[in-house]
Amino acid sequence: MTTIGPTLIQLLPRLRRYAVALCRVGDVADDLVQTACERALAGAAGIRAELPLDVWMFRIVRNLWYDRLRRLRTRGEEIDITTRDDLVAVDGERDPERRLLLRRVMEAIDRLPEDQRELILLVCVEDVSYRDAAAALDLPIGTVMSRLARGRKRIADELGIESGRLL
Amino acid sequence: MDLDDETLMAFADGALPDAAFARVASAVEADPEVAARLNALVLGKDAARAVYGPLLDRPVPARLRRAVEAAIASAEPAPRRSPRWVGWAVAAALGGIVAGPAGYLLSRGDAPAMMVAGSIAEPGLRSLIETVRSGGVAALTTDTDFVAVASFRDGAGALCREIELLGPQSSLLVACSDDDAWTIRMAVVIATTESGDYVPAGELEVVGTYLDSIGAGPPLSDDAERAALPGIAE
Repeated sequence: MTTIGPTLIQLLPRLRRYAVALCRVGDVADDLVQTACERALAGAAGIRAELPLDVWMFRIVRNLWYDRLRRLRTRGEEIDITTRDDLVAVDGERDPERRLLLRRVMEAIDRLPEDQRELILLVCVEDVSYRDAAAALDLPIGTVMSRLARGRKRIADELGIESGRLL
Repeated sequence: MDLDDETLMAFADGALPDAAFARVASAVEADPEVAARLNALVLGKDAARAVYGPLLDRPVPARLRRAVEAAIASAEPAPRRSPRWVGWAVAAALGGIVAGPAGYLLSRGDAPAMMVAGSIAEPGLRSLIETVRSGGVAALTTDTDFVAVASFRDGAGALCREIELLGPQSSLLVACSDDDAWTIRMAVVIATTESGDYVPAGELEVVGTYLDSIGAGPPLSDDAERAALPGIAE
């Protein structure tokens, strides 16, 4: 029997970052990560050897989140995101000019269609390859690349290319 | 030459084969329009990394870590003995009675350093073990906080508490109640951030291995904890 426990513990900071970025609320993110780990440990998540464990865990977290969103919407409820936990970089930035820029980046990412935003999180932030992202999201690799490119261009368009010097 | 955004993006991400890489590189050099599109694709990625990068430095909440550790312990119960754990066992065999928080430290080499286990002579610590609910924090000394992480029972049914002492020298302890006395069963030095939050490192594995070895059950619920520790305030 292969054990995944030690790797899961090592992955916790990244899983939590991904979950917080995805759902924006720390408590909800913790719940998603915990449930995802329990599913993976129970062997119910269909983990396959051809993909790295981190990619499978991202997939499970993401699917749990969309399940939850669907159920909430069916009930006409929404998750309260008045206190966001994904603004760590913005809140922690002391330089006012850079802080403003980081806030604009957040707003630009918030305005992205969800199918572009989730690829930005997986590929740009978590360094998942195009191929692994395609497998994790059950998409053709061409779709992954075109959504990702559109999302990245859109962020750049909203910020203006000259803002790159501040990043 | 007609270069689409996907190819430019793969170029920026280092995901192109060598032959295509050289071709795109010369196109970027020759055509300012292509260079501008490349810059935009790079900026989009840099911007996302800038806002989500610092999120990785946030400590994993103790509650989440404990819950996942408990799930692992019940799904993968085979005890794994790490070299560090052997080191602690040797330290414990040498013996040593704990006098106070400063006395817990045995050695401090490569973290996590090992500490001596023993009975708790200090009334302040004992009182906090019996009165602070899990998730709660209290001052042990002027510069050291007592954080109750979780309560659980070991394989023999003894009530145990996982505790963090956060201060100039932070440590993670497992204390268990034998009859009327509390005994520190294990202790490791832990690394903390400036704000006193806990940064997971090798010590989690030490603790996980230790908890496996004593047959630790899942964390007690709030109600079960209050029943086991009547000193905890409502």
